[in-house]
Amino acid sequence: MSTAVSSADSTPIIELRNVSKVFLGSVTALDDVSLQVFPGETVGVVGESGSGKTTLSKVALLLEEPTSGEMRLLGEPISLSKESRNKLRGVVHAVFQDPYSSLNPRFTVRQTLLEPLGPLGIKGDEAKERIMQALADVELSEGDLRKYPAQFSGGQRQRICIARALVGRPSLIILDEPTSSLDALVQAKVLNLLLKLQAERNVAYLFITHDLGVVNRVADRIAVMQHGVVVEQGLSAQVLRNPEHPYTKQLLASVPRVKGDS
Amino acid sequence: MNYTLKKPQDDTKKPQTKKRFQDVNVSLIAGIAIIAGLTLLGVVMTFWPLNNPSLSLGGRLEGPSARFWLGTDDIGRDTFTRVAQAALTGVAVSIAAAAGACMVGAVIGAFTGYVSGWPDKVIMRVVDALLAIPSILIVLILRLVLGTGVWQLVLALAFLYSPSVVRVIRSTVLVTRRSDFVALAEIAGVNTPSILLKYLLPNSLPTLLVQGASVGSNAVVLEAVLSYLGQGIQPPQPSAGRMLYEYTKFMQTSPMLLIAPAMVVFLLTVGWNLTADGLQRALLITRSGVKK
Repeated sequence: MSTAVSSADSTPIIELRNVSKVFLGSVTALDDVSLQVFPGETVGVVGESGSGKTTLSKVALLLEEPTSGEMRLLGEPISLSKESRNKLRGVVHAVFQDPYSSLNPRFTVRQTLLEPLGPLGIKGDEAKERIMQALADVELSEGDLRKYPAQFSGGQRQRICIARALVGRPSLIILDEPTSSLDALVQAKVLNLLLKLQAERNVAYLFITHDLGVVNRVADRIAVMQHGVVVEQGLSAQVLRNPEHPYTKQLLASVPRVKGDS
Repeated sequence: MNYTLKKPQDDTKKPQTKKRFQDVNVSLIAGIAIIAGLTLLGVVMTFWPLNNPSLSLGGRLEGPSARFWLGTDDIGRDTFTRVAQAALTGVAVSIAAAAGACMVGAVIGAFTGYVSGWPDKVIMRVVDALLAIPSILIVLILRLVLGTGVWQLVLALAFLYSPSVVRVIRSTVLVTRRSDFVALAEIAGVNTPSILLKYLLPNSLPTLLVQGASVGSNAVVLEAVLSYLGQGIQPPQPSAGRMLYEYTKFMQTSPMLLIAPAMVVFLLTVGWNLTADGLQRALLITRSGVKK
């Protein structure tokens, strides 16, 4: 968990103001959601399946257009336009849930890591230096650059995805259930890696998960979502220890505990 | 109780197992062998013919002999050399038609699948319309418009089969474009032409290869039908369909004149179909990973 705390005078990297998203005219995925992510902090978004967490990440990544509301990147309004997408690249990147479908099966690791650098105009020695740095960050070796995704395990693939997200040196990484498809040991390794990288790089995370244990470990602030609505939002310790909303209480009560766990 | 711990296996490495017979892709090997064999025979008989196929070197309707392996036709020309050259024509026309249909179909299919919206709707309605018209009618009209040369025939066949390739590639691209790796490329700012050429088309290649082999098979049959009708390969260039038409009247007296070109059409069709089946199997097996 980072030590960064949001402050009124710092500009949020990304800000959603009263954002709603309605699919097919009747399915409300997001309902009047307001959320800010400040530099260096981790905001955890929790909720059950279908609560609108992934739609929130897609809207923030400009992959879905909000039905209403306003979005801001570093204080400036953004939309689905080409100009806004250009502003977003280099500032925000993402890691998705499924490491198996997140990597182009026909790209080597080198090609995958070069992907975000091309549009940023980073070539030659600088690109090479950044790739080597990203590889070292996620504890992969230079020999892995020539390999294809099929030659890696799920945990290794997710580390390649994290390296790709890091290589463009964004201010914010949106992590949509990045550890859900991994087993407990690999999950712990990936979380440790993310925390270590945050401490080194001061990168902010919007961490979307259904796992309260994970969010407890990584988040500075938490937003709890139910049926597309943010029902409770606040500092991690405050929300997890003294939940106010009945749904948050219900979520906390449903966390499975190992026998003998206090 | 004592337990012996097994050394952990590195699951990222392929297990070194002996190749079993059922692992061998018989269809692909047989299909390619048939097409390659007929091509080789055709090339040899074109550049070093057993007998000059344009000249009447033997008697009328001679039976198989040491000089004329499959006998002669009604004007004394060597049947074996002519059939071998007809096979090469069939291979060349079907490969060219399949390549043309795949190139046009893949580009249009990938574009329409990725862009969606009104361009997709317009293109797909045109494709629907073309697929609804009987293929023989389209080719006959194109032959009237374009002319009766070999390249015009290839163009007509490529045009005829490209709508089916468009449809198949579009459906593959529609699935691939929803992949997370395409969304992540878009987030990174990769432009549309790069997404089409580096992400969508390469991942449609297995489907395209299978579809191409299938088009090759159909093109062989249609070329033979057109030549039978006098609208395909024009004399004096040998063609299996044309030979079938010309020698029908000798079915009773010299059946070899019909059996030989019919075998060429049969073998080429089987060759292409086996290749398509074999490719499908090979590419399905390696779907989870990519061989370099």
